[in-house]
Amino acid sequence: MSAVVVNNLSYCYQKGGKHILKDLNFTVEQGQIVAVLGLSGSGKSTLCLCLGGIIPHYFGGEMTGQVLINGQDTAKCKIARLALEVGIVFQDADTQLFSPIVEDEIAFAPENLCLPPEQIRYRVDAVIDMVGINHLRYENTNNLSGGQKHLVAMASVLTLDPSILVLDEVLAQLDAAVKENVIEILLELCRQGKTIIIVEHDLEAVTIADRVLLLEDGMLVNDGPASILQDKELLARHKLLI
Amino acid sequence: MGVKLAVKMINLDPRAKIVIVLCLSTLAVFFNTPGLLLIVLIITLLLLQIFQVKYISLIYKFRRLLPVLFVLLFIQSAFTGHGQVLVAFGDVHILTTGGVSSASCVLLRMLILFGSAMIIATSNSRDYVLALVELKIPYEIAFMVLIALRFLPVFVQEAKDTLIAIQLRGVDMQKVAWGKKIKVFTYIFSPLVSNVLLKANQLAISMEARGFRLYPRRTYLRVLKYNSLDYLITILSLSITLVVLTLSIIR
Ligand SMILES: Nc1ncnc2c1ncn2[C@@H]1O[C@H](COP(=O)(O)OP(=O)(O)O)[C@@H](O)[C@H]1O
Ligand SMILES: [Mg+2]
Repeated sequence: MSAVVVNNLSYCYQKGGKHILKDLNFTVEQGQIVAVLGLSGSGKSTLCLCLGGIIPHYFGGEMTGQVLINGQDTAKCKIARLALEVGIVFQDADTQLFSPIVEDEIAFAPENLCLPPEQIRYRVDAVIDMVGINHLRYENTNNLSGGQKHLVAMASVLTLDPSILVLDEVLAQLDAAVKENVIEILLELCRQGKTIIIVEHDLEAVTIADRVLLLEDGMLVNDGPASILQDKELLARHKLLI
Repeated sequence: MGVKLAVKMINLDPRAKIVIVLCLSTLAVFFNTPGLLLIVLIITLLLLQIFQVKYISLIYKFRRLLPVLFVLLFIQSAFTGHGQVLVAFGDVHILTTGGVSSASCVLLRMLILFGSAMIIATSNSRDYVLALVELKIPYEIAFMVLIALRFLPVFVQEAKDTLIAIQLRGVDMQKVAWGKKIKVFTYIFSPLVSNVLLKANQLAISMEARGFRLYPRRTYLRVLKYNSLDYLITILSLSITLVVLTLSIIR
């Protein structure tokens, strides 16, 4: 079974409005690292919302086509239920943390699973260790830098042990040393059989991808191996060369 | 020793802290002589000391209220004709002892209310979610309260920033006529409100995308436990307050 199947997916935020995603078709196999590249405004974040089922459950608008996450149709599955399969780190660092201290933030997700406190503690400790944010454990989430907020958000979704991880423009906002560390973590997760989808507008951030999807103005204009990142002519055609 | 006590007090169950605050504010509302209120204020400040709250900033913030209190002082003197007249202008009482005492009562009362509220802030706000849940309040509502409290300062800060931005563009709010002021304020607040709604939405999405409301029940990393110190403090505060209240009613 494929981790992600997207069939003829189109979406616009307002009924009868401009289409933000236009007839997307692609499949991601389990264990792949896929980069989704595109200019700002090309619909990358909207695609992430579709993968998490936030579209169509949270936003109105008009979605046609189908998204299957580990075989489950997102339109027929609660967002909270999908959260167990796919973890999304959203683009905006400031609006995804809401707890007074980092440890509470990371405990929030496993608390929703009704686990006993010892097991919540175990998951929190394991993830804090893995992401390497032990020094932030008792910090106020308000006082973190943008990159640190993203790390905490990533740790928070990892506590649910999702089989698919989606990062929406997270890497580009980290400084070099932290980015290196996160890439190591992503590779390790991949070795454990997890599927990773890295959304970026910055080409350099996606050196580890097996496969690259190019998104332009809501359309999938290229789907190929990572080697297409070397194809200057192709990138220039899609205005992705900086 | 002092540090140990502070740690113990800060780790008090949030419900015990609420009891303390309720007792102090009950007394503050009930008493109406400056002497008694002063005693309650001193107790409040001592407690803040024990909880290691820096209350200097509280007093500093209160300097802005002083003009209001001055106005109150004269109004009370002029209209509540009790007490000795200190300063008079013909038949009009400018300053009376009654006016002085009621104005100082207002000041003391507000200091007690704000000061005791600072005790609440010594607990992690997530603990109040736990406390609310223990009180059988649905966890969705408890989290809503928590998030509202957390975003209030952000909202205030943004309002201030917007106001400054408008003034930087050369609009002097002091000089804007009253009719137009309302217009300027709608300019400020409509983007602000839509911004806050947007943030609230994104936050709700982020919570749900981490499994919020998956089940009708949830568990918590931290567990609240009312231990002996909590019981002691609760019983002590309640009984002292009750005794003091009954004594002053009897008198
Ligand atoms: N909540 C929304 N309501 C209406 N339009 C939106 C909303 N979010 C994004 N859009 C629009 O969708 C388009 C694609 O946005 P987005 O998916 O964020 O692109 P990207 O992440 O690639 O920068 C943009 O033109 C944006 O204006
Ligand atoms: Mg985006």
